Amino acid sequence: MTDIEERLRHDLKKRGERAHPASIRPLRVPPASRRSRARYRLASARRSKAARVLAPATAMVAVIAIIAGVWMAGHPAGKQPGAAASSAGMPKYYVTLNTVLRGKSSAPPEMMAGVGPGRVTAIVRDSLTGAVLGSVLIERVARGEDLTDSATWITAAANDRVFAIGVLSRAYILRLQSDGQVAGVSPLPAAVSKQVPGNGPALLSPAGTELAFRDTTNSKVTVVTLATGASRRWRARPGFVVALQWQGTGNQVLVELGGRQGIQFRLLDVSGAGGSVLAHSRLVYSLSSTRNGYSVGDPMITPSGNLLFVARSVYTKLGGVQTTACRVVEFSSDARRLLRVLYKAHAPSKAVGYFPPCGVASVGPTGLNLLIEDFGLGRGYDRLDGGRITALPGWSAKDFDPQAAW
Amino acid sequence: MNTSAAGLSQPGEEVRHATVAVTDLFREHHLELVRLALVMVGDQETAEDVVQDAFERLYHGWNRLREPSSALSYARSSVINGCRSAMRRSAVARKHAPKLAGVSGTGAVGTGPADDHADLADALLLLPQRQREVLVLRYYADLDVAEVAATLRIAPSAVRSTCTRGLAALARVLGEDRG
Repeated sequence: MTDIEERLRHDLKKRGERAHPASIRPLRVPPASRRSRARYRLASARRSKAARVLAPATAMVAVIAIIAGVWMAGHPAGKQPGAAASSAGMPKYYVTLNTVLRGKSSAPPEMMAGVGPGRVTAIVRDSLTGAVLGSVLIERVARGEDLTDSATWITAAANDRVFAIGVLSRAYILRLQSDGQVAGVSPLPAAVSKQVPGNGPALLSPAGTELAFRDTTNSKVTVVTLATGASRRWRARPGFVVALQWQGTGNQVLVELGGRQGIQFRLLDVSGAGGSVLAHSRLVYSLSSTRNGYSVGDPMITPSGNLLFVARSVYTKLGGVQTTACRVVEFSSDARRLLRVLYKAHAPSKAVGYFPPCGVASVGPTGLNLLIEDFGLGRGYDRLDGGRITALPGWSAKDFDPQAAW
Repeated sequence: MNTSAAGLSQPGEEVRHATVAVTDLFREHHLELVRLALVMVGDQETAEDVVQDAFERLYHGWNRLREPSSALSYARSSVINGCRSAMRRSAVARKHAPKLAGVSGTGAVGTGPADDHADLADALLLLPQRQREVLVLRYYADLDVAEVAATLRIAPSAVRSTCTRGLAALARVLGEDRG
């Protein structure tokens, strides 16, 4: 075999491997678009009336049958993770942060668009109906401390009653009554607040008693006890911390580690006094490498033990339009294989270098109901219940820097 | 797969058999076919669409298959044909892209995330369709000359000559790149 044949074989294999199993969508039902209907009309023009009526239906049945076959083959009866997921275990309330800019910015004129002083309000809504149950002013930000599009964050405890909120470099705790009414907001002690990075987010533990976050250099995982301000730290060398997620009752944090070795998802035991991430964690899953423009994040472990994360890929279509493809994928923890793609969306980049929000904003206490950013589709946030997507009712995606948690 | 094609008499059984067979084929070869389509068209989304259409056609045409064992070959041909159509459509889109999108047309053409350097897989996209198909089937899918000929429905001698011409064209591209 000549040099060029060897190189062609190598380059083609490399190109083919860009199609990673996690990045490939499953079969889908053919869209009932005008174009496809027109195609069917043309194709069936010479067929009988019955055939014309049945053609689109049989095409749909064909794909559904294959999807069902693949699904059944990969999911033995009695072990269908997420199949029973529904809105039944969904958190009763969700809280959004509404930022209203008011007044003159102290930033130079060329940087003024989208920044300025203003106020941040937390609004509590019923998850099913979207009805507003209560609202509370979190903070009025004065001139000189501009709110930008990354100035606020919110996370929730598993009990659906305690939320941690960040505004610039300050952090607050919001408590709700059992009926969703606001019980009160209190700033976190300075001993806690000063440790939390300004751009957050800090993740509230399931019991609402601790905050976990990565430091500004992404080199450490820190867990702070809210009552005392005491902290424990785990170093992530070699590598860096990409994302965190509390697991179970709050003794473990799922850590996504990036680095030369690829991406690792590790379960870190945070009950100890601190130390090294590698020494105090166990490997759940690893991806040996990711190609350019491909990233993963927002990992979590479902109640059935499967690993779920968001895979993003950026590609350039004809005409140079950059597009981001976002997928929420579920991997089996035992067989180490892709079980299914729960959600997939494509969103074009509005400007060079800008990519739409794409990720899981919050996970319900059962781990089955996800609050996902709409991936630039203009709907704000969506609910993802075991593979079923529903628009989150009751709030406007037009808000400046919207944030939500449940 | 235990079902025998010869024993099928009821329409329901035929449908069930097709579902099982296509499902098996999907599980075993879906990724491989998506990758084949990806190296042909250079864009994963299009590749996934092409493979989906191929499986849909395979399912519908299952009863017309002379040999169920040739299903993979049929699917591969179907994918190659789908890629051909997709490339034709993308050529038209590329022709009108500057006017429609208001860009200079210098954007990457049908490629995924860019690698650090251009490789032969990119150069392959510049070759004529037949040369591209032959080289991909020969050097990516690792088919022998007879299998490539059967997939593309051309003579083995045509496969050999197209392959030689394609490699020479790639060598020229490489030469220009280095020069």
